[in-house]
Amino acid sequence: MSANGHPPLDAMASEFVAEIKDDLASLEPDLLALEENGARVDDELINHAFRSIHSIKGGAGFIDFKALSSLSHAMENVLMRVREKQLVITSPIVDALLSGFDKMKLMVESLGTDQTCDGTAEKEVLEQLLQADPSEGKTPESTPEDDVELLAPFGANPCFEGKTFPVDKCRLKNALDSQKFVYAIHIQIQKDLEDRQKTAAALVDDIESIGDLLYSSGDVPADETGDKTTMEPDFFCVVSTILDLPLLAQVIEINTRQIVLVDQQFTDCQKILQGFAPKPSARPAEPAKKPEPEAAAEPSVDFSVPSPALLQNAQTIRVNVDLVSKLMNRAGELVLSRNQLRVFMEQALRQDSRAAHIMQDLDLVTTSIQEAIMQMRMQPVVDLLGKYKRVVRDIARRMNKKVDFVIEGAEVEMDRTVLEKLANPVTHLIRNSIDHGIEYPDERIAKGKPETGIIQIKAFHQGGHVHLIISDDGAGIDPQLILSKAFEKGLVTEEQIHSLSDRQKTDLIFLPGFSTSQEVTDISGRGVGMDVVKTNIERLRGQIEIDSIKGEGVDIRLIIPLTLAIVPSLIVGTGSMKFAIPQASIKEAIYLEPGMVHEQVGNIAGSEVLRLREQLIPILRLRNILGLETYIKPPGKQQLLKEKRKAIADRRQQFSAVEVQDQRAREIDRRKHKWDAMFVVLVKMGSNVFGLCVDELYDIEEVVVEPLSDYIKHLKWFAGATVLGSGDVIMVLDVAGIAVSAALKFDIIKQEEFKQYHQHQLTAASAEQAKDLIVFCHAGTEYFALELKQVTRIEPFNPSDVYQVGNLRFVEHHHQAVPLCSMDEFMPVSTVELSGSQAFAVFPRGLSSKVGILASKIVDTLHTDQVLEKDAACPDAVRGKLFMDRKMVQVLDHETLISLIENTIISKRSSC
Amino acid sequence: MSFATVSDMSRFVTFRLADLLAGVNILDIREIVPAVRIAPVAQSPDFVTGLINLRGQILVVLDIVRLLGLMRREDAVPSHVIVFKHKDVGFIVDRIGDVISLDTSAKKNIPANIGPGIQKYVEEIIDFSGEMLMILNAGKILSESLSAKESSKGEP
Repeated sequence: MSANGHPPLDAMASEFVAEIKDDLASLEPDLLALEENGARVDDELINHAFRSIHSIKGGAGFIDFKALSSLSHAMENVLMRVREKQLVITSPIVDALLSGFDKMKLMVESLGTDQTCDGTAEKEVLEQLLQADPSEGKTPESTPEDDVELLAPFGANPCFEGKTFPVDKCRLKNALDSQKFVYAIHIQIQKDLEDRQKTAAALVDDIESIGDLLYSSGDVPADETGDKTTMEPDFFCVVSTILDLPLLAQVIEINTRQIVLVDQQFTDCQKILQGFAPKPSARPAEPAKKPEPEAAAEPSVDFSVPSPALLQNAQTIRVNVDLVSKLMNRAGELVLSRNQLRVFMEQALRQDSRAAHIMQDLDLVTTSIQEAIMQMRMQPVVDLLGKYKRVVRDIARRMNKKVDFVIEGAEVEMDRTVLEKLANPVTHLIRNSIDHGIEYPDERIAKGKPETGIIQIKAFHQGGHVHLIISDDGAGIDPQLILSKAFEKGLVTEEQIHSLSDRQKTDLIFLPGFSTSQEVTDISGRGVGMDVVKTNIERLRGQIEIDSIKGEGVDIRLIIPLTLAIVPSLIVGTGSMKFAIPQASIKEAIYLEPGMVHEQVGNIAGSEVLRLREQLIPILRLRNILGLETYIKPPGKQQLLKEKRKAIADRRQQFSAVEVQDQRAREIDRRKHKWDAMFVVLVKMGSNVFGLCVDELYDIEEVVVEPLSDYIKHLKWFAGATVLGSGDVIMVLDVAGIAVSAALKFDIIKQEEFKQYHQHQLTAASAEQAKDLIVFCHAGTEYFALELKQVTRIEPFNPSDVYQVGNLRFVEHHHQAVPLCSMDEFMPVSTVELSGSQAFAVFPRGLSSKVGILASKIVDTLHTDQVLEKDAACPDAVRGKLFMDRKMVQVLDHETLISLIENTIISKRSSC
Repeated sequence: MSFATVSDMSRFVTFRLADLLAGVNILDIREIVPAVRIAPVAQSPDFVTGLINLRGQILVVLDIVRLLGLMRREDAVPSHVIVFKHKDVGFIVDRIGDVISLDTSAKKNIPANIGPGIQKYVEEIIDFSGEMLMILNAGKILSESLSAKESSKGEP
């Protein structure tokens, strides 16, 4: 034993530790199931738990881990009493067992580290249980007076029947105290020794090397080898050892059926043993099963439902994760080679049907190999969710609430790495459900709900994602309460209060710093919760949605991708190179038309910014960041020229109007040419948004991101590399890394934006909140404006594409006939002349069906708070007026407009 | 000729680097693939030629000529990538030569006036049928070029 109280871990020991861990894992569900069953003791369940603890004890003994073995010994004692019906399972007992279990787990985890775990406290609790056991007093002392104890094995093998072995009591006690197993072994001289050319002495040597020989029948002469004839054909011996049965059988080369465990329980309750016929057991490997004296007297109870832990004993092997990953990579290579081969073989395949046959076989096998390997990485969600049974139980008990935990879809599988990362958020959600959701039993009864609340987790597949729905039947979320809490903490503004829908209010709980708990408990209330949950889920590229009905419960839906390895990415090109941008970090992609670039892109002290919806967005040219040389093909020339412009807007701004006119006159307007158009991909990094300027947008591909080799790991612009379907290798951009490399420019732009914002503030005369308006022209010079957020979309259409039916007009939009409405139909304005090549339909929000308002031209968007007061001349639907570039714009009141349109459509329909 | 035992004989793959003939131990090599479709990596150190896709696995291809501090000939067209066993790394070479057997027990012999790059990575230089053959220490190149990346990083 090492100085810190733990044995050093060698290869053998770590094998045992792994086994102990497995046993521990199967122990917990058993203990919980025991509690659930309560007084109805399920023998199979107890035996299973017993076996687990027993092999833990064995393993601990083997690696000389005394603290663990003595604790498991104490747990074993308690379970034994339960098995013997001397102890009825109650919550305190399960508590004690579970706390013992926790300590055991801690001990195993601290193995090989410097920490020491002391299980004395848990052990004492367990021992007290035994002391307090009322039935203990009734157990008669049956210890024989002399120093020899009679051991009577039974059960496993008829050959032990009726045999008793006198064993030195002192030695037996010593063996049992050091947590050794005591076995009775039946040795057949003919079969076990002579056939193997082995002598009895050699066998005894073997036994002595692994344990103590406590008794042997027939007085095997340990030093005499020749005199076999004097020996009986069979002989028996009793051995104490730390090995478990299969191992013992291997070491001494005796069939397991000839060995039986005579553990200390036999000495504890010898009285029970006597007078009961041995019950043959099909499983010699388990500690011998005891016939229950009370069983006959008890009313029969249905034990037909086996514990889940017993069902899970499917055949598995332990495989290194690295090996699986390697296998998976190789399978990927196999698929690629197959694909290449197929292209190469195309000719042959067409000519020779035999070749086609072989190819088909190869196809099938390759695909099935790949599928099987993918499946190896998958784990059923129950591996994670099963653990929450304990969590729910413990929290509910601590809070004096009654909660049932139900799992549906336990067999749904997902990638191991994803599952591991789900543990934290799901724990949080479940805690929340118990703490905030489920009411106290008396409250529940008062509300007419069953006393025991239910937390249900439902897992299922849908559209390539795994959906996890965590629902409770508790109090639900009160949107109003959330809102007022959020307002109290300054997370929402007063204006927002009125504009939020119930759902938006509920979603406020995702804001950082939000908490409804009156006080911080050790379960929840620190206000970091849901924000972190959301971030964690989003990091898995998943989504979280909350559905709540006040008073009836909450459904939280987590939508998680099956695997992390595959990342949907946008493939972009700059110069001759392609790059992948993970879709999760893309906000939007914008196409700047030729000739529009200089209008939308400004240059601030060398940094380029994009003016987009009254925001200044920094843009970076991928070409410049990565130091690439790009080539352009000027119109009318054959050879490629090196692109020299450092910034997109450079030359555009220098052109005077005259020059522009000049250029127009040229044969081909360069600025209208294709190479002058550009794409800006707006990417987000935290709250920052910036644009990446690229030359080309390709497809969206699902790529497998491979980590970078050590040689290029330091290139912070890249998150990894990937192989495209075409076989090309391209780099995956790391948006955060790019932002870091451009950090300085970020600041400048922020400052500029700040300055602009301030100027805006100063000029704003009225305190009214500024609004974004979209200004459109109705007819001639009649300008109207609608609030931008009240407009769903604006669609251009060709006036010749308008279909007239009676007095209704329709345009086709997404294969739907959408009615158009002209404002002259409900307002005192001129009629729109549908002429020219283009007109627009403005679709306002909030209509019961889609209706477009006719507009001859879309003028601009406007950010303003200078809406003039309504005057007497204003029609109903106009909220006020304002002036823009010497045009008078009438700002429409959204709600009045909606009702007017609805009325118009209805009256038109009826008149039709 | 000394009396070399079998264990002293090693086989080497020879190849052309710029004007020079070089060789590496055949036991260090996983495979040799044609140098096609090498994707350059922006901003990478100058000795990193790029990445190639070897049956779905992404390998880094290093320019050994630069690592050795030699000048690449303008007209040189790399023909093959020698892929090494231990890391996902390959060297680009101009032309693959023969596989030869050499006695490695002979004393190391590197002329003192050789440039630092070669001094560092070359195990020995021998006279091979009238030409100088550099035996490269692949392991050393692979491990030490990693630390060289900072110094020769390209300008952003």
